[in-house]
Amino acid sequence: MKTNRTKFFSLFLVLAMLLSATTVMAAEGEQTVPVDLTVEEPIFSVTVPIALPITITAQGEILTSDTAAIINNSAGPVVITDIQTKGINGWETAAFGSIDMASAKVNTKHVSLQLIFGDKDRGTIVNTTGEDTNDFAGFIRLAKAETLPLLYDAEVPAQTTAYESAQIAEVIFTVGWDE
Amino acid sequence: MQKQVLNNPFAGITPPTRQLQQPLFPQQPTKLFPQQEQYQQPQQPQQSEQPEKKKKKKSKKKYLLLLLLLLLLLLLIPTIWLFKGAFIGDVDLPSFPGINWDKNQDVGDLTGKSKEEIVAALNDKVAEGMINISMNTNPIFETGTSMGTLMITNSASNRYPQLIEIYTKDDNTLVYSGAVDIGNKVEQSTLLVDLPKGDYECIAYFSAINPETGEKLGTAGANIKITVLN
Repeated sequence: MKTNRTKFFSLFLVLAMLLSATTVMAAEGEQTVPVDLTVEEPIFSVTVPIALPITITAQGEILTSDTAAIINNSAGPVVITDIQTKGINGWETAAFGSIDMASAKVNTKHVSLQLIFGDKDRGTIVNTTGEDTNDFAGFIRLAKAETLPLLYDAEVPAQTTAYESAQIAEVIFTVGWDE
Repeated sequence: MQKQVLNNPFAGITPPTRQLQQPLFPQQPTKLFPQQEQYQQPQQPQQSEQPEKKKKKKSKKKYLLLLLLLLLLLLLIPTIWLFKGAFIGDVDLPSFPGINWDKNQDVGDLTGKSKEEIVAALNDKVAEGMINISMNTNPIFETGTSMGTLMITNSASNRYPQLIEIYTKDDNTLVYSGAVDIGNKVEQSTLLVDLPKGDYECIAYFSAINPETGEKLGTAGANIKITVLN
């Protein structure tokens, strides 16, 4: 009986000490740990094609490159916010699908373009709509270090004069941070 | 020293005159027989004239032969040239009067390159035309005339010098223009326009330029914000 009393008394003393200690610590004030952040100018670096070459074969078939891409080398995700398509050097853009290649007058200086970003079947498609316009709306997102394939197609009436790297249209991609 | 004529078994035999007239060595007549000396001396001038004449005749013949050969060559060359048109590649084409086969022709048609070859060439062009654009998207200027942190880089991986032109979005004012060579950077630079304090949404256009003509080869844009603090 005596030992039980002693045990109980000892336990009471230990609890009393612990509680008193906690009270003392709380009385000293809250400890805050500051989290500092230093941000250097982030690297904005994007690689885009500035040439989308097209070849009309001797048989009138249109061939394009299949390796064009947009590469995001930046420190974070970026978005394509604007795409300009315009005809140059006497050429005019037309709505994609509107030029009947089989019957379009030879030497007509019209070009229509279709740009496919990403997967051929599920990617974002942008078509020229004529008069230097296109149907691009919204934005196309590229994650950090992403390479986005860019396929493209064109419609150009047959030409009787052979050209070598003649510039007929201009495509300008505008890119910014994905904010 | 006296010569022993009596013991000579050929004494009294006169050598044929043909041999005397045509000695093997005219300058050194044979002295095998002492009698020869009497005949040789008066005949010496005649012997030296005859080989000269023969030499002249021979050289004339040579010249004639050379002339003939030259004439033959002159005749042969145009003949070969004329008939050459009839043999193009391994094909023996017939010759027609008044018709010349074009010697520049070759076997084959004009289908040119294959699809794969054309696409490969297009891919090379795209690779050449890839442009990397890099700059600070929020350059800060203390004032409209002070240096600001543009931090433009024309990567060493690019193939062309770049012309960077910054336009404000609201009124399309050109506020910066400068070309940067391949592998170079512009950490700080000034604006063309003394912009008042404020933030300006802009587009920075990066154009690859032909290093020889300055012609713009293609352009890409970046959305940026210029901040002027005071």
